[in-house]
Amino acid sequence: MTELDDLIKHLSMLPSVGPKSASRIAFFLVGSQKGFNESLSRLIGEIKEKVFPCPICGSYSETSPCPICSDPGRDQSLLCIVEQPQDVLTIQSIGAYNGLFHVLGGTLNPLEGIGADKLNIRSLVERVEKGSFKEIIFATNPTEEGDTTALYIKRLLERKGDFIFSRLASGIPIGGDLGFASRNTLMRSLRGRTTF
Amino acid sequence: MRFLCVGIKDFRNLKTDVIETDFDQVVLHGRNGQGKTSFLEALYTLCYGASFRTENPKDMVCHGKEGFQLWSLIQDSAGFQRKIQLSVVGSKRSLSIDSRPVYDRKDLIFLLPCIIFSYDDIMIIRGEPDQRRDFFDRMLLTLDMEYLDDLRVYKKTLKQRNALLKQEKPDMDLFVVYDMKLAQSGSRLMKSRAAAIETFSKGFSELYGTIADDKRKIEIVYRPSWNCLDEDEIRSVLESSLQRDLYLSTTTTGIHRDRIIINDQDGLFINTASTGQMRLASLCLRSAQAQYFKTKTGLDPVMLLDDVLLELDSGKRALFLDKLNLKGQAFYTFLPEEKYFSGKKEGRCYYEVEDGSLKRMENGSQV
Repeated sequence: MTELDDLIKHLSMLPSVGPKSASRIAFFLVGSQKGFNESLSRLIGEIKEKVFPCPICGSYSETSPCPICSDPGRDQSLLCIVEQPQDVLTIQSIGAYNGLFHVLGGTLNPLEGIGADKLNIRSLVERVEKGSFKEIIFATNPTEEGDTTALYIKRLLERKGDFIFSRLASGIPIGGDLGFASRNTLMRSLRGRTTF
Repeated sequence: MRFLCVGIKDFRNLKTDVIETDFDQVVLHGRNGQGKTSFLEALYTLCYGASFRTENPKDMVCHGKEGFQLWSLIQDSAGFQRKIQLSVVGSKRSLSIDSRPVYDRKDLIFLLPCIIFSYDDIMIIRGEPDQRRDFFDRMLLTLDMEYLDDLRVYKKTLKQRNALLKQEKPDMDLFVVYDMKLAQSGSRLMKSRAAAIETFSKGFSELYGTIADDKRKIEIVYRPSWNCLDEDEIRSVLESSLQRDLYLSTTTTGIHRDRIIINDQDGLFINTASTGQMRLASLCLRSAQAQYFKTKTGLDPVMLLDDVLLELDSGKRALFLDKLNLKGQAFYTFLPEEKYFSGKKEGRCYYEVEDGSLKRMENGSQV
């Protein structure tokens, strides 16, 4: 195997990168400007040392605790539970949420051997016990596993106090047209309709 | 609703070709093993994104090829021309409607519903209970998006629950969540099955009585595994059977254990029926399915009839086709010596199928 083949093989292991994209990236790197590859490889090499999970919420951070957990200006009564660290960035980017986060690191999936012990669930329960949360927002994905995990955690937290539990709404997108909505989206929207 | 033309590449033993199909009746003649059923399978696969013969798309790939492609111009229920494209390469299936990718087969199955009459349908009558459950599930999910959604949730939850049952130290709290989900989706599915089977049974019984010349009155009876519809009661049933489920490492109650029985006045129909009567009953099941579909939607599904008139005498054949009351598009396959349809008729087209090639014939009698 040549060096180039080896590079393509490694790149194609990245998420959403197939062999064709990996090959394109590899050839780009071969012809890139001087210094770019060195800079990129240094950043990749140091990323795991400089970015690590926050000991409180599990989101990736360069400080311990992360800037969100250590910000006293945030609403300490709101806790949003997400599956992955990148979900924190997504919700943060809309600028409409000012509470705290907790990253589970995945969803319950017995078929793949993922139980509660492999997710940040124990730390969540301890955090909720000690914290001053009033509302728990489930922002797990609207999949079977996401729903199951939310229901499971709700059941655990119900024993710990009197919280308001909420779930992200799902359905017709803002500015969308009913005619263009998929049947499934429309059906879910009808099932999850709210009073008006 | 109809297929206007169909394109095929590397599918089973069929030769790469574009077949004109814009006719009310398309009649395929040919010896066994030439590709008649494969052509119907291609049509079915375009309608539902999956085959009626195999669960593994790789089985449909022509020997020595890496994948297959199917496409079709169709006319939908509103009269608009649409284009369906399906390709399978390795284990990857790509589907598009009007050149837009479709990621869930759900978006396809309501576009051009079809009903396949197959020689193996007799297994719905005399086979294991799961074959009758599967028949009704497939029928209902083409009519009701909620049924399809609930069935998916139920099956997925059941798999996860069974995986949890097999663990050495299962998380008991997780059973409560899975039971809740099974009860919720299962209860809705039970209600749909019960209502559909009650209506369906009447139509089926009438059809069989008329066509079979059999004085027995047959009916379809639904025997659900759970004897309650209330979600809380279902959860109690699941909870009380948990120890047994843990011992057996499988979920022993639920809609996946429902029984759908075909009875005559003396008991099980299959205990006394001849093979001919069972085959006729299976034809009546499909016909009743078409009638049920028409009643619920007002639409005529595309009918795919694969060698099914073979065992009917001429009187029963005429009666069967009369009762089937075909108003939509229909595809028939016949052996060369079967001249059920011959001669020119407006809206009818004949193809001779030989070695995977479909050759248009001017007149069926030339075959």
